[in-house]
Amino acid sequence: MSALSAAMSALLGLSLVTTPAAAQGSTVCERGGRSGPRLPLGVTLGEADLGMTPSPCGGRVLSLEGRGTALLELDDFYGAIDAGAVISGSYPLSDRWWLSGAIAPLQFRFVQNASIAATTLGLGATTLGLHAWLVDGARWRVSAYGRLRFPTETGRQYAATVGVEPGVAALWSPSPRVTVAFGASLQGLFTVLGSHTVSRMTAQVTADVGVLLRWFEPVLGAELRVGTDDDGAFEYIAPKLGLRFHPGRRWVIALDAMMPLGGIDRTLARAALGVTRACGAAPPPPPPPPRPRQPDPIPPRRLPAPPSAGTSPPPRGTLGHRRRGGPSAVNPPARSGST
Amino acid sequence: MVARPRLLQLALCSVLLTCVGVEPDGCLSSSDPRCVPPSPCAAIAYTCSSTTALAARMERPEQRLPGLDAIATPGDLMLSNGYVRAFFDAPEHPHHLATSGGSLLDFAPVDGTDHLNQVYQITGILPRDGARYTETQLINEPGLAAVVFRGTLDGFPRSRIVTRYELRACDRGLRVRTELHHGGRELTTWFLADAWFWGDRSMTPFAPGRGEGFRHRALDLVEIDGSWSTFDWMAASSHVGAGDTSYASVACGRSQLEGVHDPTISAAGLPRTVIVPGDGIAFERMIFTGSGNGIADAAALALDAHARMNGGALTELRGRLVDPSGNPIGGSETLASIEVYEPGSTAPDDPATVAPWSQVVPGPDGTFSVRVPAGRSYRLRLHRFGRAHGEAIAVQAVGAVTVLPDIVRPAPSRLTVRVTDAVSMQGVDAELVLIPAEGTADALEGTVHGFFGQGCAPYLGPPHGASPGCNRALARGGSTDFALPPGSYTVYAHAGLHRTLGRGAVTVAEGASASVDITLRDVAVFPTGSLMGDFHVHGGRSFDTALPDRERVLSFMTSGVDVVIATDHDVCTSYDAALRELGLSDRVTVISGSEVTGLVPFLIRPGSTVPRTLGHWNFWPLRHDPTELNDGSPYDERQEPGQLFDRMRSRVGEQGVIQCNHPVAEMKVGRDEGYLRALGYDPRQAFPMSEDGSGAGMVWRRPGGPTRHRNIDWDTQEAMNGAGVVLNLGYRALWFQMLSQGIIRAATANSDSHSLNTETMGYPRNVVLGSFPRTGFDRDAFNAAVRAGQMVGTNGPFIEATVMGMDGSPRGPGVTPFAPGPGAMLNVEVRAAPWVGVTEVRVIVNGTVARTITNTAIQQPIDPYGHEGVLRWRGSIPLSELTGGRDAWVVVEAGMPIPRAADIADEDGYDGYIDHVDGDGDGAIDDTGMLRPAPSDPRYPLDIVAPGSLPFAFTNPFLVDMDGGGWRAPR
Repeated sequence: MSALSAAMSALLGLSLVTTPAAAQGSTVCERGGRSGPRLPLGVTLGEADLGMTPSPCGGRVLSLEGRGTALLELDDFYGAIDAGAVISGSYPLSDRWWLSGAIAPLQFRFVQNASIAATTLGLGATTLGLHAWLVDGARWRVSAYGRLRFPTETGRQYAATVGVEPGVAALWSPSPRVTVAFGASLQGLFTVLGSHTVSRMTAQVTADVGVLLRWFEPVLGAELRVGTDDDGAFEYIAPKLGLRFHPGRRWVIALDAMMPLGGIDRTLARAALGVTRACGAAPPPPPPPPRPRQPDPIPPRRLPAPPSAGTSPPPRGTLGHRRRGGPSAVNPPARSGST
Repeated sequence: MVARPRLLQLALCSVLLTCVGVEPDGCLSSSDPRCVPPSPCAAIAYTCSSTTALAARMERPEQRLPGLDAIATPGDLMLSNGYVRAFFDAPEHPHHLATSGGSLLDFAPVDGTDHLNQVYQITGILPRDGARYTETQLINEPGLAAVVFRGTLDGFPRSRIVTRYELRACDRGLRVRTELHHGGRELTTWFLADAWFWGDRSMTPFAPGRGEGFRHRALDLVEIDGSWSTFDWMAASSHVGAGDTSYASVACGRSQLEGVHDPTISAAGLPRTVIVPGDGIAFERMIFTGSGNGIADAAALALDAHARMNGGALTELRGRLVDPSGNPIGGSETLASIEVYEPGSTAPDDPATVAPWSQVVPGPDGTFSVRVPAGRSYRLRLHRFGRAHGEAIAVQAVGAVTVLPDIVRPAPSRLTVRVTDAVSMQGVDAELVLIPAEGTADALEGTVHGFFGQGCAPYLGPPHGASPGCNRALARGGSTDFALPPGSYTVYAHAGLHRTLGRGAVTVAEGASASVDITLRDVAVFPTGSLMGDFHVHGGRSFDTALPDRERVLSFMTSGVDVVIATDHDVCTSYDAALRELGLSDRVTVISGSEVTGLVPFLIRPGSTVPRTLGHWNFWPLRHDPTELNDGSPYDERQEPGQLFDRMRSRVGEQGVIQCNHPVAEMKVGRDEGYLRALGYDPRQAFPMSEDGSGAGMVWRRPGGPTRHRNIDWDTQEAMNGAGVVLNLGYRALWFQMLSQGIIRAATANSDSHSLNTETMGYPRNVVLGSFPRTGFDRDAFNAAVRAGQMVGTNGPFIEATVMGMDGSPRGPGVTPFAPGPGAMLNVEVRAAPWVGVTEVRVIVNGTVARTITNTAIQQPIDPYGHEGVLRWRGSIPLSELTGGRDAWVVVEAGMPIPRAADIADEDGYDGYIDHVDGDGDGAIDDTGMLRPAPSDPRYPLDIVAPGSLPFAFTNPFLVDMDGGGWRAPR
């Protein structure tokens, strides 16, 4: 893990040295000037988007993603592949509240126990989440959320699994091109079979760092999960890597992967390839290219303070961005005009 | 994982409105650990006047079912009604492949005989995937009785399994429901099924379906997809000849079963299914048993149950088999077995495309009745002497009963054989071997519906059942009479290595009877006072054979051995009843023992990821006690040899013998039969001399603790086992290597005979040297001589070898070093019955052939079927010439030259083990064994008696301390 920490520190340090501290007149959700959520990384061990640290920015976003998880334990004569497609999105309810949802319309599973193997192909789980931002500022955005997991999956004999996940997500943008995402959540999974319920409780924290380099954004991250499993509390710690491509102002193509290490979870790796589109009007152009030798146009000490308790909420649909004068990357003006 | 209270679940359900899972009945939906699964197969009910069904715990061994496979002991559980009786091993009484009790162990109609080894629950192919039951519950309710077993999967203690075996008053079979809940955290694939452990050489599984029946794809546990099939029901039957039993299984709640079939094991269950954590699965089926030869009885029950549950009408085909005179033909599966099948798609009788539905054996009155689905076209084909006989008969099954016209076939031919002593003219207990006239064997070869095809020509009966079997028959008192296919034969009669080999020619016409008389004579091959012993012999109590005790005991006599160690797999056997019945108690001594046989892979040696079993071990003497588990052979799985020795030494006593069997035998169905090969011993490397971290170094471990036995602390090891030359060369090489490194063990030569056909009893055997009185057998003295290596191992020749000791007395072979006298000679005399080929005598010194005496110096009998020419070679060799005056081990061998052999790259690659020989003498090392030689070859007569054998004898070592300073190993 020291290597991972060092890599993340190096990436963060490099970005701080080579980029301005902040863009003029923008919030953390607008930085980068690209559509869709740049962070956090869209990969974790869970179904639909359970366990996935959400973007605290919300907005009207739609994603289609292909995922694959591999577990290979040759010494134990065991292997499993879990792959499928997930459609997810978010939809604003007000300037503070938004909904998110994910459904796996296609889920393929292959499990080999020694030479006994079987596959399933069907519908996966569905999740629905309710989010609200708590802190919104030029450099910070913090939201809280709650998710429910619904047992829409097929390929089961009798059991149904429901789940609940409260959590918080945060974005910090130390410079226009650098974003750091944090997340923490609790998950409760309850597999119900008649009067027989098996529960699984876990808690996880995530941290991701991304640097936007024009249309390309590499991201490094880590995820730590602990739980109440009888086999041990330490589930895994996983380095994550994401490669984000921004082919246009509305689109993000993301290739994310994680590799759980240590702990009781034996998953070898999980990877996801997704495309995300922000809905509504086109977002603003990206900030000017970094000019490392120039002084910061807005020194950090002069940044506006984040909204404090009691501050009047921004108009619905702007998520607070427009009060600083710029259109939101995720909530375009056309959307706000309808309010 | 934490089981949440129901309140939480209800809250979740009501809040989330998402409980869309299916509510299963039974214990899957209950968190009560004492939940009782519901009555299985509710859709099917039988009526009768009886209301009695009983679940109880077995209290006395007399309650055990008849039959050699019956093994339940007091403490086990039983279900019975007016039709069937079933026994289940208690959880603490595991047997065979299962890791706990809870198996269906014995099962038969009330007046029937048990032929079942075991039925147990699995979810995969590894031991971890099997059920491990820990609790039982007996249920007696009006009209039904049940036994419930609860536990977990063996390797997944979070996955709970519960099985209910139920018997209602009118049921002809058991209702079974197994529920399994996945409490683990990862996805898994389960194949929830019953594993039917047939054990080889016994039961023949049958599955209806096109291209199926008795035809099954070869079982490959690694590439199991290629072995998989789907079937409406399955059945199996035994082939002993008398008291046969059939079994069948049919799913409830679904129309088909899935799985694999093989003479070793069948598995029939649910489709392979991905199971998510927290989910569960349930499997209901009925298991039937029927009486008589063939599968028809049990198959009819399964077919009826399948039709009741899934719809479809049945019809009964009735007929009679007679000869042209109207005399009935039947009562024997060998004489008449009728396969019933739908015509094939390519040709009406093409086995690859026909759809078999049943198989029936006409009764002694020639009548038969077989149940099949109605409204279809069938063909009935008679099998006689293991082959299809005559044209198939076409029939359209209409109505409830279809009565067929008589099937007329020629009466079977018969042969009477009399074997007498040429001097006393008294009848001699002998084994007969029939060899067809040249060029006729292919047309006379038969099998048990495709099973057990081992070159039985002529086919006289199931090769692993009673006499006659394969092409052999036992002549009690020198006389026997049996049916056989018409043809010309040479009939050979043998009665031991101390007798001549007799023969006679006979031609038997279709439907006719013939007779042949053969005489034998004693020949003086073995020294007076010595005893011949076979220390590795199986009978019907072993899970992998069906030879009745009577035949087994008769074979003791026909082999001419004096002492037999009964070493059935994992069970202690006594042949007392059969010995008494045959009046042979004073002519052969049987010592009860056991071949402890690892069946549950567990040990992962260094450098491997594959769990292993650790070979086979003989222990004797043991006390046969039917009140104990395995009649006195304790549970032995998942133990290293040292742990076994710790447990067994107290049972066999200090004078008892622990024998390492076939030490480098190969793996079979994932079970290692040779200990050293299981450990990864490489014959190209030196034998490890310490626990050096290698697999083979594990022989030095003391698994039971620092003061307990080492894994290498066995007394004797097999240097010869059966007729297989390839493996025997491996055993010999290992023994030589151990001797050279100073690891001294006595070597034995045993038949490992499982039936009349699989390894001939007494070939090879041990000649235990000494002065043992025929009466008042001294078991301890005999065992002491065995442990001391005072033996010659042989399948024919006898070597009398001595070296004069320092005290002036002749010393025979043994594992005790001694100082030879000044100018001592190795004195050798080789004798053999005339029919045993001896063309070479070899003296091995420290693993190297130091002297070879070839056939020019060896006397050959004029007539191998005569009685003269027993002495083959006599000579003396100065010991100093052989050893160069240094300490050495010396072994004398006699017989025929060892064929050229090599380790050829095969599926094991170059692993250092000999795997091919020049078995046909053509100069190419491309055979996996010795092929049948020409009649003029000196090996031919022995090959008739013990197919595949190479005449071979060896002495145990002479450990000569040439300098008198204590014997030192050569390296």
